[in-house]
Amino acid sequence: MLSLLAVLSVTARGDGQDNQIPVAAAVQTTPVEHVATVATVPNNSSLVAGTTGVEQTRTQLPKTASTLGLITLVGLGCVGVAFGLMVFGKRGSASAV
Amino acid sequence: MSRADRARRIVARLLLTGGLLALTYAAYVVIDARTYQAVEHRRFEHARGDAAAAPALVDGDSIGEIQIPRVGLTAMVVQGESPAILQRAVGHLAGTALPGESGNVVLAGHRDTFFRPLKRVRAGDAITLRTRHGDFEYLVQSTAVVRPSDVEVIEPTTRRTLTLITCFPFSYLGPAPDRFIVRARETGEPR
Repeated sequence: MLSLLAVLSVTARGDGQDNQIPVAAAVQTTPVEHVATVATVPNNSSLVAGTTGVEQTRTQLPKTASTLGLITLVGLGCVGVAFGLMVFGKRGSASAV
Repeated sequence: MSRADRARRIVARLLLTGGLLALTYAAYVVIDARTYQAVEHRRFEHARGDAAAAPALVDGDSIGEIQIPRVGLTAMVVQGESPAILQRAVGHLAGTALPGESGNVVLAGHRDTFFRPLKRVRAGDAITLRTRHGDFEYLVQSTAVVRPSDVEVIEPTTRRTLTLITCFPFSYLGPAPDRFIVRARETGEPR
C-alpha cells in the first residue's frame, strides 16, 4: 500500500547557516505486500464451473417451491366459506322469522 | 337484522373479497406464464438455426425448449433460477453446462406448473432439449428424492448429463421440503 509521507531534508551545516530545504513530499517505494487469502468452502457445498468462467459456491439446490397451489386452495376455501355463511345465514334468518 | 347476522354478513364479504383476490392472483400467474411461454416459443422458432454465435447468457435469456413426450411436458427453458424466472419458465442454473457442452446441464422448475408431469417420469423416458444450435436427446437413467442441501447432484459430470430438479412431494401444499431429481444421459449426436 502506498502512502505519502511529508519529510524535511536535513543537510550538514557548512557556512553556519541553516540550509534546510523543505521537501514537499516523499513517496514510499517499498513493494506492496500481497497477503494470500484462503477461501473456505462450507461443508456440503458445490463449486460449479460456470460457462462464463465464473465459479459459484452453492450450499442449497434451487428453490423450486411455488405458493400457487396454496394460494389457489386458500382462495377457494375463502369463497366457499363465504358462500356457506351467506346461505346458512339467510336460512337461519328465515327460520327465525 | 340481529347483531350476529350483521357480523356474519361482514365476515362473509371479507372472506369473499379475500378469496376472489387470491384466485385472481393465481389466475394472473397462470395466464402470465402461458403468455410468456407462447411469446418465447414463437421467438425461439423464429431464431432457430441462426448460426451466429450467441452472446454470453444473462438471466432471462431464452435457451430452448424441453420436451418429454411420454408425460406431456413441454416448456421453454430460460437462463436463471430467480422466483420471477421460475414462475414463467424452466430455469437453467448458471454455472452448469449448456446443452451441447460436455458436463451436467441442470434445469429447475416448479412442481405445480411446468415440472408437474415429472411425477410420472421413469427410467427410459426420452427427453429432448431443442436449442438454436440443434436438438439434444437424452434418456432418463434414474430418479431420486434428495434434501435441498444435497448439491452433489448439480456437480459437473464427465459424461453429457441432464439433471432436472423440482420440489417433492408433488402433492405438498406450500414450500415442499425435498427435491425430486431426474438424471438423464445424452444419446447420439445432436440433430
